[in-house]
Amino acid sequence: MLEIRNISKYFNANLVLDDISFTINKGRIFGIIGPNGAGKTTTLRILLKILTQSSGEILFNNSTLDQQFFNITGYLPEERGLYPKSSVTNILIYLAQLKGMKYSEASKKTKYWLNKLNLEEYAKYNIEELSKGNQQKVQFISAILHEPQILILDEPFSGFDPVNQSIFREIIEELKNDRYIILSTHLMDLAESLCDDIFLINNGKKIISGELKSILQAENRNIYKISFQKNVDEIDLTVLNQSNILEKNSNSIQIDISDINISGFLDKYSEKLKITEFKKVSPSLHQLFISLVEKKD
Amino acid sequence: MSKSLIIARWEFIERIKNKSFIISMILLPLLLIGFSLLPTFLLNKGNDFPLPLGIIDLTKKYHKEFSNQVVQNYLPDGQPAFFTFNLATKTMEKSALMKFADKQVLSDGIVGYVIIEENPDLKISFRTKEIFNPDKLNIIENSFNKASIIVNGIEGNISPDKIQLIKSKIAKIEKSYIDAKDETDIIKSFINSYLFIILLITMILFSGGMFVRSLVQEKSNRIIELILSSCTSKELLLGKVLGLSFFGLFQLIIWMIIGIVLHKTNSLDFELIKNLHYQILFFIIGYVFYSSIFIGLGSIVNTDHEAQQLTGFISIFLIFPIILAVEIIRAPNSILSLFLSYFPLTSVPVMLLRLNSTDPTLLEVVSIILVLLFSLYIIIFISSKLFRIGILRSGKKPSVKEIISWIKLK
Repeated sequence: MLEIRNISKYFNANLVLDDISFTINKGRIFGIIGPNGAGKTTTLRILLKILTQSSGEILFNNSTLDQQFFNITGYLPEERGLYPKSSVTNILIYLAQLKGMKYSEASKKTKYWLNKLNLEEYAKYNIEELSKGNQQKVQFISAILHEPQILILDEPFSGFDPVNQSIFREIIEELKNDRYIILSTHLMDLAESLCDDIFLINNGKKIISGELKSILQAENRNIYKISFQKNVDEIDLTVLNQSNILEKNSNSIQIDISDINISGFLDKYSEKLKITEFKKVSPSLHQLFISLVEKKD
Repeated sequence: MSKSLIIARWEFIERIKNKSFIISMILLPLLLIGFSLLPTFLLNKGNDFPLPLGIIDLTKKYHKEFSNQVVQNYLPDGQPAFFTFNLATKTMEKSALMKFADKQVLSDGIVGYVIIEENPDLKISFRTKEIFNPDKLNIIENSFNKASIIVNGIEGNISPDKIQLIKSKIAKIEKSYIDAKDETDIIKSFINSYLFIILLITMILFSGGMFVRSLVQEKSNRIIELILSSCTSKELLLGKVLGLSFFGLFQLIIWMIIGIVLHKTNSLDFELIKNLHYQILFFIIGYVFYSSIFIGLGSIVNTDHEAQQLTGFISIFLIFPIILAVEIIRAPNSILSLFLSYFPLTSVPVMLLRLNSTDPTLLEVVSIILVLLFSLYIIIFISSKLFRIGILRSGKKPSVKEIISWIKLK
């Protein structure tokens, strides 16, 4: 179990993380989610011991982090880059050795992963000679080559083409069984489809955290989907308070009915608006995030 | 293997694999030596003003006519190319006269002097202290031959037997140098004097520049973050310092091998290098000293342009003593030379120059080294602080205030 307890971080006088705490469990994907500048990368850097927290502590299996912690973590930074003039094999072996792997083992694993991701013919190429997609694959391999117990992925799919995205999604799903996987992203759809647990953060402060399913269920009481016969653009929705409309699709809307007398509304407008369906739905993570941030503000 | 050693090995191998390394190893020192020698040649080429020339005529027959002839050669502006001094006015032995004349040359009273002797054939030699313009030497030689013909009364109708006589009286000038055997000896002693300082500048500017550029690259492509997720900043710093030191040592070994080969082929005489042991000591301290400055300041810069500015800034301190080299070698114990020897940023290059022309006392050497080591300690302290914070910084250049706050951080 990886525990983050009451972490705060100041840069000079600026408080960028304000007393955040969460727990990460093995075999589950933990998402740190928030808009750009929320404090996600700073949290990850503290977790990786790249930065030191101003206060608070991090415990792994009930012990504070020691030098050995470097060897059990794998990291895919948001801003990607490797030595452009070095060969793929050399750089992967070098980074694996820095993670405590022996040369022979690192060499073997490098071959395995290059084969798995169809990169074996590029083994001796310099990084700068590879396409961007292949460079991303190499970068991803560098994060997992040494089989880390804790895998930390900062905006893992940023800049990935759809083919690479699906390859790495599969790999992440494969890896998650006996590992701690932490990913940070501002892409709510991605988080919703991949994460088991989430920590929503904004302006360095916790918004909400816990199991994603439970959070969405707990928050889904008042969200309804209304489907229409006609296209939404052709319907006069002025009868509704526009701030209640959470999402508009071609023939449907999602609406928060917390402050609406819904039976009165349906009686009055179902015929006029040609409503074909009215059903309760779970909010998307995106909707949840917006509403929670607004609530906090 | 410790992580610092893994980093050091990577840094070392990546540097020696670099193509520019080969260029720096051989071409750069040659270029520096070439550029250093160029001013000497240009100086001689361009000295279009009358030169004071001494004459020691041991035959007592030629000096007047030779002087007449030599002053009749004119510079483009109409001034005579030479004016002469008869140095053999007193009855002295040849060796005593030469000793006196050498002094005049060394104190720049005369540019050189001509010795005329008959023993039994007529012989003329020219003695100076530095490489002499060959055109000017031709003037001296031609003037003497004219004087010789006049003095020997052989003008007008010349019979074949007299041609033979003239030939026997025409002397080919011989050159000789004070403190050196020949021209190559002068070049050798020049190279020896500047050898260590040239190597030091080459090594520091090349490897330091390379180090800063690689750090800038690591910062801009964010690989530094990946490495810092695998080791502490202290391990990274130590690894980089070790890598840089191995690289410096490797260059030194290659140059030593080149030096030994040159020594074996008589192109380089180690005995001509004064205070060799001290020069090697100051060389090593200098390399570590300037490398540490590069590490500290290199952590602050974010772009190649800033890295170039930084290299230029540090090279000022290395090149400044070379500008003053003539003065430092001429007066190695002057207040200026001593001040620059104790000033940490110029200490090493100045000492490498001074050690060629003076024998400092052990106390002086030890005190300068202590000042340097103390400064080195402070620089390493500051550099490691700047490195710890600076390597994770990108974007705009930090202000002086920010840099001071980094240094103050515990």
